[in-house]
Order: sequence, then structure tokens, then C-alpha cells
Amino acid sequence: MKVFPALTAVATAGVLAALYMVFEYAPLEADMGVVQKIFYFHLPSAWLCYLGFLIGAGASAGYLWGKGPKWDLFALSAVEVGLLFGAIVLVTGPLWARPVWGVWWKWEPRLTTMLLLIIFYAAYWVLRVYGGESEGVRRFAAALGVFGAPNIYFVNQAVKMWRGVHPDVIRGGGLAPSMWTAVWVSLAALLLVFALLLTLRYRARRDERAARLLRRRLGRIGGLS
Amino acid sequence: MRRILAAALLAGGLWAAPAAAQETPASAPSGAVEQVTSFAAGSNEGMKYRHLWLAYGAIWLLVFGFVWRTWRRQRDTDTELEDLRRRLVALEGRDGPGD
Amino acid sequence: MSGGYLDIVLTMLVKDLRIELRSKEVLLTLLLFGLVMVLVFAFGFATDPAVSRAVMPGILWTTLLFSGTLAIGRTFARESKDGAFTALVLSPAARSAVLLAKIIANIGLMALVMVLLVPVLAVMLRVDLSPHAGIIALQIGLGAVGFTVVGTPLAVMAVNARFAEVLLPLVVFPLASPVLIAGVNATGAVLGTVVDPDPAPWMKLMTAFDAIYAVGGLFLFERMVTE
Repeated sequence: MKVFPALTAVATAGVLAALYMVFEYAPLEADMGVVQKIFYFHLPSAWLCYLGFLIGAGASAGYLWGKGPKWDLFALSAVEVGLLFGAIVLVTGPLWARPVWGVWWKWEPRLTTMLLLIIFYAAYWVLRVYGGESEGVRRFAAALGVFGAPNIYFVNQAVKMWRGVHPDVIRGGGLAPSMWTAVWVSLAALLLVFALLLTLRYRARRDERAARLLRRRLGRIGGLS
Repeated sequence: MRRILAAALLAGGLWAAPAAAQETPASAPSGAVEQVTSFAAGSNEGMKYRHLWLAYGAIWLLVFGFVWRTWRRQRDTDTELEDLRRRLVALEGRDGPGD
Repeated sequence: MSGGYLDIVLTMLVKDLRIELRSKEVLLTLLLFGLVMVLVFAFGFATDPAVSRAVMPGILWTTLLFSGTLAIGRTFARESKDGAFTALVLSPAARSAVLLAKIIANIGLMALVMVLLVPVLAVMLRVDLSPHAGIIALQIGLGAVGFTVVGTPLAVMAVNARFAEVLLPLVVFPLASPVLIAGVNATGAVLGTVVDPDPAPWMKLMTAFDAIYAVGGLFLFERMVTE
């Protein structure tokens, strides 16, 4: 249990360092101005969202291959953390787009891919959490988790071809080296936050399962009266 | 106690995000110049600051909301587990070991 | 695989087709539903021929998606009713063989429905599809395969879940969205309603999608269903 205070402290320090890098170290972007500073948390969040989904897909595959219920809970927790970072992307994206592009939303390939995958894994989450507590539902969810991984590629490909004529705006090719440094620092910091949240979530899910099993056992031997 | 702590953290985060955002013009005074020269650019600058503020505020809110909910679940589960274990021990003390 | 595997596929397929041909319940339901869709689209969009041509690809593929969802939802309805589903997956027959038979049956069903519906759609929306009938049929075929290989295994598993009828479209639509995007653009390319007149890249994308999900689905399915 001592690992949590330590991890929390390191993650907090990392986030503070990232904030320093973003607001003090990185120069002000010439065209977009101060609002471009959203980017330093927006882009790593998008990567971590995918990381969460990919871990979810991997753990789901592990569960389907008979690795036991912990893998199912780990997949669920990873998807939940992925969805959190996805929500961050979806909130910060439009806030950035509005002053820069003049619109809240664009059917830009990366945004569209992200949105579709978030919807898909949100459906996974709804199924897994509200679908009932049977083995069949857990396996259904795990299959969905695995099915989602190749879909990252296909959705991205299709959407890119669909919007192929549009210029590449988000990556903004000419990012100064010091800006990239800020991106890497905030990625490292958010990675720590990711790890912390995933461990917390997984522990909560695991203990909930333990409680459920214990309650069932007590119910059987008549200890719940 | 934890509730108060989390609320304090949240408030701190919300306070820190705009505070950090407001520090930026000092290191880059070009924004201020633009605000004087053009009203249109000025209002756009205002929107940029507001949106930056909102974005970092939203990140804090989302992350702390997540931590807060996870924390509460964990606390409820811990309480329940403790209760169930106590019942189990009581039962086994009466009937002998269960398994 | 061995002859035994194909035997199972064939037996299941013949069984399903025979039942369906006798009752025709799914086919008729799907056709009626498709007609309702055509009406809804005709009411929803203007009946001006120029507009019709522009929205035709979207209407066609939306119809495929919606009636496909109904079709895959019915796949195991017969089996789940009387516990036959459990008997089926418990049987020594390779589970993926059962799935393959169901997939083929669904593809056939969707193809039949679309063959009957698309001419009606073309006539009612006054868009002449006849010069491109072959290539559009090929595109619809690719799309039906893609939708079915993704949807059928999930429909099987959804039998266990609560509110499966809501969840199934919720998970199948995002999964099948590459097929929808590719299909709309491929048909649009043929009809000249999108900028790029070449449907080939879109059809390649659909083919890759079909192959990956067909192989992956059949491979995974052995693991998906519980005893």
C-alpha cells in the first residue's frame, strides 16, 4: 500500500514540472498565441487514450485465452482510464479549435477517429458495467475489446481517405524543438498520472469483486441474516 | 475528512490553472500589444485566454472527478469487505472453519 | 480444414435455409423494413432528382446497415428461444463452423434483401443505377460481408447480455463505420457525387476489412462462447 503515496507524489511533481514547461519554458506560438498551450496536454492525452484502449484490448485477449478474471478487470480499468483521457481530448480539442479555426468541431481525420473509438469503447464500458454479471457478458465485452484494436487502424484509414484533401493542421509541422521538449515532459507526467489512475481503478474493481464473492459465500452459508 | 481534502485539492487545482495561465503574458508581452492595436484581435485574444482557462480547468475537473469517484468506491468497498469479514469470522467461530 | 468442418458448415447452412424458406419470416420482415426505410428517406430528403442523386449513396448504405442490424439480431433468435443455442455450442461441432454457417446465411439474406430493395430505391428516388449495376452490386456485396463478419459473432454473444437489442447496434455501428464510409464513397465515386471518381481504393479498404475481421472473428470465436 505504500506504493500509492510515492506514486502520487511523483505524479504530482511531474505534473507541476509539465505545467512549468508548458507555461514558462515553451515559447509562445506566433499565430495561435496562448491558446496553443492547450496542445501540450491535448496531444499526450490523445496518445494515452489510445494506450488505455490498447491495454484494454490486450488484457481482453488475455482474458479470452483463459488468464482469469483479473485480466477482465484490468481491461475494464484500462478502458476506463482511456475514456477519461478521451474525454480530456474531446473537451480540450473544441476549446482550442474555436479561437484558431473559428469552429468548435471539424471532421478532421484524427478527431473523427478519436470520437468513433471513444464511442465504441464507451459502448464496451456500458456493456461491461450494466450488461449483467455473467461469464457470457464478460466474454462478450472481452471480444469487443479485442475487436476494437484493428478498428483503430481501419477507422483511421477510412477517415483519412474520406477527408484526404484537407491539410494537416493539428501536428502543425513546424513545432519548435523547445515545444517538443514540453510535449515530452507533459507526456511523461501524464503517463505517471495514467499509471496511478489505472492502479487505483484496478484495485477498486478487484476489491469490489472480492466483496461480491464474499457476500455470495456468506449468503450461501447463512451469514447475512 | 477525505471529502474535505478532495474538495480542497479540487479548489486548489481550479485556482492554480488560471493562475498559471495568467502568468504567461509576462514572459511574452506581444499579446498585450495586439490587444491595444486592434479591437478584433483583442477580443480574440480574450477568447484565447478564456478557452485556455476553461481547458485546463476541465482537465483538472475530469481527473479529480475520476479520482474522487474511484476513491469513494474504494472506501465503500473497504467498509463492506470489513463488515463481511467480521461476519465470516463470527460465523466460523461458531461453526468451526468454513472451508 | 478437414472435410468434417465443411460438413458441419454445410449441414447448418442447409438447416437454416430450409427453415427460412419454409417460414420466410425474416426475409419478409426485412423487406418490409427496407421499404419503410425507403419511404422515410424519401420523406426526409427532397425528391428533386439532383438531390436524390447526391444522397443516394448515403441512403443505400444506411439501408444496408439498418436492415443488416435487424438481420444479425435475428441470427440466433431461433436458437436462443428453446435452449438450442446452448446445445449448439456444447456440441462437439467446431464452434467456428457454426459461426461460419451463420455468417454465410446472413450474407445471403442481406444480399437477397438488397437485390430486391435497391431497384425499388432507384425507381422511387429516380436515380438511374442500371449503367453501374455490376460494380454497385460488387460494392454492396463487399459491404454486406464486412458488416456480417463483424456483426454475427457479436450478435451471438449478445444473447447473454441485458438490453442486447440496444447494445448490438451501439457496438456494431462504430465497428462497421469504416465499411459505411468506404461504401458511401465508393458508390459516390461511381455515381459521380464525390470529388474523386476512383472507387478502387475504397473497395480495397473494404476487402482488407472483410479479410481481417472474417479471419479474426472465426479464430476468436472458439474462445468467445462459454460452455
